[in-house]
Amino acid sequence: MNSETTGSMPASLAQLHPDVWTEPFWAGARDQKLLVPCCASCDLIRMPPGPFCPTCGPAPIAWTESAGIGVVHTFTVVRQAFHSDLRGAIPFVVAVVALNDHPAFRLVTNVTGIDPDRLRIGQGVEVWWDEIDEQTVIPRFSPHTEPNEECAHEPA
Amino acid sequence: MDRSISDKAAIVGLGFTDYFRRGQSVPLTPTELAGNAITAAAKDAGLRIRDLDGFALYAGGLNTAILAQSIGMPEVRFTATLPGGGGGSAGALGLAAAAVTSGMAEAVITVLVLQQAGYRLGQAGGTGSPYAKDATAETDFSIPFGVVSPAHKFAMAFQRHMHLYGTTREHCAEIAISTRANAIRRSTSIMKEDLTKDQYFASRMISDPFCLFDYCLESDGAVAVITTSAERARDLDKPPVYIHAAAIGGEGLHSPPTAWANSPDTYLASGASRQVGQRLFEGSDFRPEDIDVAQIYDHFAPMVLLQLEDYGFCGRGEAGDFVNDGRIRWPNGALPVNTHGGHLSEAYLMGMTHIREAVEQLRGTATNQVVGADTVLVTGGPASIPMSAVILRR
Repeated sequence: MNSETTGSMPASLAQLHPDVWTEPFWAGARDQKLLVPCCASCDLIRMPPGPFCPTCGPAPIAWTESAGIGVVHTFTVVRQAFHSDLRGAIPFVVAVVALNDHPAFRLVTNVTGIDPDRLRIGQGVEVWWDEIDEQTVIPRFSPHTEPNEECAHEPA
Repeated sequence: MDRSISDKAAIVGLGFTDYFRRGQSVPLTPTELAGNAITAAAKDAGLRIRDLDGFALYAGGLNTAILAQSIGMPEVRFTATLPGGGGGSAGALGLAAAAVTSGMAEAVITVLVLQQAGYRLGQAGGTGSPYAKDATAETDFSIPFGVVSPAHKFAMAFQRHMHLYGTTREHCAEIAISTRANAIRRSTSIMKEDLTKDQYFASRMISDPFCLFDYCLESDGAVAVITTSAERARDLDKPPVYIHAAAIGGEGLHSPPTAWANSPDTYLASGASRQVGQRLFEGSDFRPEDIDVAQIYDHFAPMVLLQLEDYGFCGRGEAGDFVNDGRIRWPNGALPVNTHGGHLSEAYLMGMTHIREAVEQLRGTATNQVVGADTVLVTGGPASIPMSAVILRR
């Protein structure tokens, strides 16, 4: 899909192992919805999704849909394959992306479709859906041009 | 903080094998390497193998049944292992001190053996690698994105630090170059040639902003130390190296890799060791400025900078300035760091070479001796829980 300068990520690494607490996230991904796990009792972001809230104790998760637009909070450009399946993918960008509509929620993901040497913290990004197979859809991000607050004070 | 272990236990024996490049210790077996280091440590202390009765290990430990039988320990009275990896290295000395001080054991072995012949620690998926653990529901939030090596997380943490505080690769170069300068004076070192700033900046990027020389070596070998009570230590051959304070653990809410990404910058852009550092000094007679030598875990050069902040040698965001002007250089810097050449340039044995160097500094026998060294800090990590640290004194 979107990968101008970075190779696509290998399907072999995208094999998922969901449990009852994480499955709603991946079910949302199959519907191309980015779901944010919040504590149903106190709203605290809960990553990884699991049975306990650090504040409330045992409590269900309320899944909230995000528009999937955010900013790069930090990143690395991986230029050496530490796994044989990644040889065709390098260089690729691993990033922590903060969502504009849920600033407290950050996702480890990839940013594709950008020259890695030009990527900066504060880059606006939007989600795209990497359809590995019918059961497996992975949220990755590509550049989004809408200016945002963090970009404004970030030197180019 | 509870001061019950303070100065009540001491390191009395130090033993080690040669250090090898990755895989080069074959055909020696891991048990043979570990046993050789333990035997040497017992001899160094003036103890017999039958005087040893405990193990305090880390990084998943060893099969202490095989080890005890192999070297001939008649009874094992204590055996415990910290979870995680090298983050527990310094903390294993705290565990040994706890065992000895509580009376559960009298002479406790801490040993680490590494033989990266069938696997490579930094490489995902290698059979036997501690990082080849089974994928879980939690790792689904990292592995599909190619996050398969410890460096990836640390590179992102350091990138954030650069963004927030203006820390630069020049500062990382100072760590790599000063550490190399210490290594090349030692016969034990795998890297024997000077490292210049030009070479540092010409090296290939591996995981931006980490370049080749920001990465530690891949090595084989074993180092062992023996801890006993301070009272008994005074009757043995070598001057006691007292375990003055120890801390093991870390930030509870943000330590797992997927939780880390959602942490505030005070944790995300750090060496993850601030809580361990605070607890360590609170449980000691010393402040950071009292430390004579610092052996700081250096799996990656930039993480030394972040630990200097976490352990209170400078303020948050000030590590770059702190290392300018030769402050961490041996012999004239105010705080010589990794005087043995560290994981970056001497050998990578998951923290045990730092412990060895601390003991040699406090015995006054180090190759790059800091004159009058009375207090040494040793750290383990950054990592997920546990990080750890000890203050050793003579």
